[in-house]
Amino acid sequence: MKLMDRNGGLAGFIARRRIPILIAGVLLIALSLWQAGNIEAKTDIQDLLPADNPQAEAFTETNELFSTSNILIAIEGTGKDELAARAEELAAGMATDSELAAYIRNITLGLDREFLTTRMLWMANEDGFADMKEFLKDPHLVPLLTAFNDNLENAWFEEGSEEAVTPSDERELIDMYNRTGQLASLLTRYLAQPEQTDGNAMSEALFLGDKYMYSPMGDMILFRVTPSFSLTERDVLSRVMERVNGHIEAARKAHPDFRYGAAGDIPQEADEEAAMGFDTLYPALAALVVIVILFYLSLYSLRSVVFTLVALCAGIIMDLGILGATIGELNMITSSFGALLVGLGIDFGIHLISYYGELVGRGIVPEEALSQTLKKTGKPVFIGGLTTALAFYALCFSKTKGFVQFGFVAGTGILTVLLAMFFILPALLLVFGRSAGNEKRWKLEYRFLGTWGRMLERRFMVPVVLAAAAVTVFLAFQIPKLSFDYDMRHIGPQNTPAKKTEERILDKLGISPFPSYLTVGSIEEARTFTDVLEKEKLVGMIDSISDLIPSPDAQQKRAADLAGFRESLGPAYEYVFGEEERETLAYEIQRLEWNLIEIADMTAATLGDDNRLLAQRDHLIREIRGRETGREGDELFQKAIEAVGRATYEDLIAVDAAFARGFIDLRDAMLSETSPVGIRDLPEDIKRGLVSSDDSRFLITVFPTEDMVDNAGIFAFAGAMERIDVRITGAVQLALELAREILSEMKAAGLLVLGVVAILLLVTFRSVSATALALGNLAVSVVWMMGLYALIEKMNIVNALALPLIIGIGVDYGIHIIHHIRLGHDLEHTLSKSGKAILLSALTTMIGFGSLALLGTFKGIATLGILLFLGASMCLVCSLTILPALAIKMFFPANKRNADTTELLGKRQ
Amino acid sequence: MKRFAQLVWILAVACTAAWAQETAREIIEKADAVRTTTSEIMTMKMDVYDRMDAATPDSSVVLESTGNSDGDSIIVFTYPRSVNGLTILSKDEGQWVYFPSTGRVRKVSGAAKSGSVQGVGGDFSYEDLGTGDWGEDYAFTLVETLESGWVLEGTPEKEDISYTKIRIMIAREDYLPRWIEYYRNGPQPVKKLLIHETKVWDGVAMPALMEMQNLEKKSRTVLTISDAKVNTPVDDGKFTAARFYR
Repeated sequence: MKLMDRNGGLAGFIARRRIPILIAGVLLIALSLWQAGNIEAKTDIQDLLPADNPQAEAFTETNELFSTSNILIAIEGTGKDELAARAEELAAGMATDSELAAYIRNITLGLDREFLTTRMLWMANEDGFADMKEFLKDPHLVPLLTAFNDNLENAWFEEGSEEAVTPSDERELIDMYNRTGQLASLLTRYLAQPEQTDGNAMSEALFLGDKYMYSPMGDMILFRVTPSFSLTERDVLSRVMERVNGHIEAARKAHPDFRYGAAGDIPQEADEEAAMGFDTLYPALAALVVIVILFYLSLYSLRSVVFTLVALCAGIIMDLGILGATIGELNMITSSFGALLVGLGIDFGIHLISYYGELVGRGIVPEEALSQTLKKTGKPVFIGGLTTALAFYALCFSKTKGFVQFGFVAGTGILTVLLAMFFILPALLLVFGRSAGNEKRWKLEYRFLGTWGRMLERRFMVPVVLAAAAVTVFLAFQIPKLSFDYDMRHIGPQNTPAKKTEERILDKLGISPFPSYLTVGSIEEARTFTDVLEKEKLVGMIDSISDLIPSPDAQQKRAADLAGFRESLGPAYEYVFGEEERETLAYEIQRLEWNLIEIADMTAATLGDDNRLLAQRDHLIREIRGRETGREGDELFQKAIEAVGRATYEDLIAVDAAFARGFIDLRDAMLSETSPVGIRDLPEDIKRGLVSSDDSRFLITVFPTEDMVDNAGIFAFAGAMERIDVRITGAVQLALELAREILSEMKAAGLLVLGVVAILLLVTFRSVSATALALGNLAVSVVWMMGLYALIEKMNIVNALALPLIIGIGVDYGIHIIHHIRLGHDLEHTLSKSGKAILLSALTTMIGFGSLALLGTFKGIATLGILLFLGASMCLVCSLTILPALAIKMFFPANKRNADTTELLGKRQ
Repeated sequence: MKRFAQLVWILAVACTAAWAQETAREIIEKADAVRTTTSEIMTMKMDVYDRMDAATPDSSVVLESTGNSDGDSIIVFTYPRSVNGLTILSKDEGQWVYFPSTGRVRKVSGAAKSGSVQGVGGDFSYEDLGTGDWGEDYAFTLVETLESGWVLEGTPEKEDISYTKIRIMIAREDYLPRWIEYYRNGPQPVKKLLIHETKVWDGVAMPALMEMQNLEKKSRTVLTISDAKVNTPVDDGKFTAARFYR
């Protein structure tokens, strides 16, 4: 400060060392750009939490031990066979791509059929095994369908009728509907062309289901690409997704009737990284363009505008350099710092070049103009900048990693921009701006501010204060209506290709894309937890090792049961397919249809009319609502009944015999394995997602139901998981943890920033009343900001940062107004002189935040932009209305003001 | 003297117990009498909440229930659309379900008596909705006398009752229950029925808004009776499974 107080001490230094300063600036920029290359974008929530947070630790352990990352390719279209062909083509293309090969561990098109066949009876639970024994007794269609129907009716209308349908039941039922539908469809086809009968296909359709991963309605096929790299390898991630998207694009062009997309954490991360890159650059660039136009219309020379922007960019690049050399990463909160610094940092330049331009315009030589500029405006600009920087730095005391990083990046950014404005800008003005006079062109004069100041002081003081009080009361009552959005899906970039694909998968499969994880130390522990989790209504699906490997006791018993069952089968017998069998077959297919209709009826009562099973039934059969029949379905069972009625005996016998042969082959394969199932038997891609590489840790993956659509659903799911075990982690738990931390930290950070600002104000003003007035102005602005925001949006974990930020940002305007009034100026003078700089400062800040609000692809960032745009505009409105009205009353009552002003003017003369 | 005092004490306790038992029986008989009607035709809505704290129901059904003096009942679902016309006949000898979508009638096994009404009754089981006399099903003792009524504890006297104990609070005002706790092999109730509102239909007071809380599953089901006709003639021939086929 002494440097500036000594009338041009700093100006003299700059004047003498202008060239070395610029050279040093260029070197610093080069060094900073080099260091900025070290910055990584991190989009995961756990990157915002402290490393010792138990949920974050558990999540990190899960990522380290298990291969959970994947690229899920979804293809939509008509016809299962066509979808399978498209999936095979695309997968083959990817598998043979030499550039992709190094980064892909494997491509999984469907379940491992051999494992499923040979281990199905080992993995089945007691009831399931008992059912299978009934089904596998007789290889012919009539006895099999009879056993199947008997079993269905017993399970659903006798034993099971007392329980409501759970999500797990719904999924199993959809699978069963699909399998029986396929059998009916194949029967119809083969009865029309008996020579083509594939008995294996029929029995596999019924017992194993689809070979590929289809949606329940069969209109989407999914396959999984497992990467050989981790999510942290950012450069690889982008390269791989470019290649994958290239294959998808080529497939889309070759088959325009099919819809292709990629989802999963790899595409999502790639999209988020691209979005973060966009949010860091483009909103800031857009803000720069608008600010240049505003400056061109407002300031004295275009050259000075360019110099200010050069200094601003230099300050931001230096901040990036420091960021690269220290923290080395950007997260979803810190990614907004570019636009933030454009909005805030430019303010320092505005104050300097506004005054400098006026002096140069009056014919004062640049060195002298610079000296006077630094003397008159240097102190408030420096204090304002320091206040804002300290406010940001105060966030470094937060426990939340995201807040700490943001505080450091933004605080350092303010200081580097301040440094650039005090050294690089003046040096540029002296070296290149010597001939830049006050250009003779049309400019915005902002005279209305002086007129408003005069009218405010003479006529509107009381009405303005009363109106402001009424608005404050109204908006204060809106604040309690503010709600907090805990749904992480609303924070990230919206409408990205991965997000859209993910939403379509969610819509078709009904499983939330945000799984939770629990890592346990043994298969038995996994079984205990899986049993508990399966009873939880909000759990849609569970992947657990215990579903694949039964307990040793159960396997021992199963080995004996299987041996007994093998012996009980006996030799094949001669089956006679007569007239009675034709009628019975038709009846059993009809009975099957009835059972499927009635089971779906039952689910309608518990899951509602729009449940997936009902949709599946309507698709396979027809739309049935009570006694009413609606839209047509595929009528798979009626077609099969007609085919049975039409077929000759020879054809029926041929198809039944072929089915029996396929059935026996499959049954033999099912009974072929005599040793218990162990970890070593698991297919590699399944094992990697369930068992750690040293076979010592086991992962349970829990997918919530689609009910997790609002805060209540999120809390209910997270609460249920916490009650089961506090170690259960995942995006939902991490988001809640972060939200809780941020909500508590927001208040603490706000108070901390407020404390720092209050101390700085007291030091600057040396007046309690002036400090109280500045803080009061800020408080009213914050009430207006929050009240207005409550009417349009929800709070989230990113924009919660706005509260401490606006305290650091908004206080500046009041400082300038109070400072001017305390010098003895009336409101006309205050607002015509300080008002222009304040208005321009506020407009640039609003442009900075507005660019985030309009262009920010991360919704959290965009809502932060909206909130801070409102905050800056409310601070401006308050600083131009109630603050001057109250300040003039408080510091210079009319009678005193005239005398003091006369005295002051006398002193000046 | 000591022996005489003991005798007096035993007699006093025995007399008090006998008096209390009689009182409990009287109360439950009056409560049964209040509940006894020759027929009931009710339109009701059942909202099932999967979570105790949920604000909106996870599923809802609307049904019309008809009961006769023998304790037989017919429930016809009218909402949602997919179960419109689904009918459940309950008699002493079992339950039958009629599916309008297929036109079939199914006999439901007795094992389901303790379960939810065909899976659609949420937390109400057949047993909970049954119209049998409490006095016949349970042996009651008076456990607490309140200003507003009495708390009675009942232990089952029939083998097919799935609860091991119930506690009922009978209101002095109208002899209608205000809450019932259901126990099953444990010190804590597994379910609790709350009667939030009563109404008088055709001169008979009846619960109009009931909430069954399933304390094990942490779910609840709210039953709202929107309309009722009581003691009006009902064709007893309706209460046969054969009638479904017509």
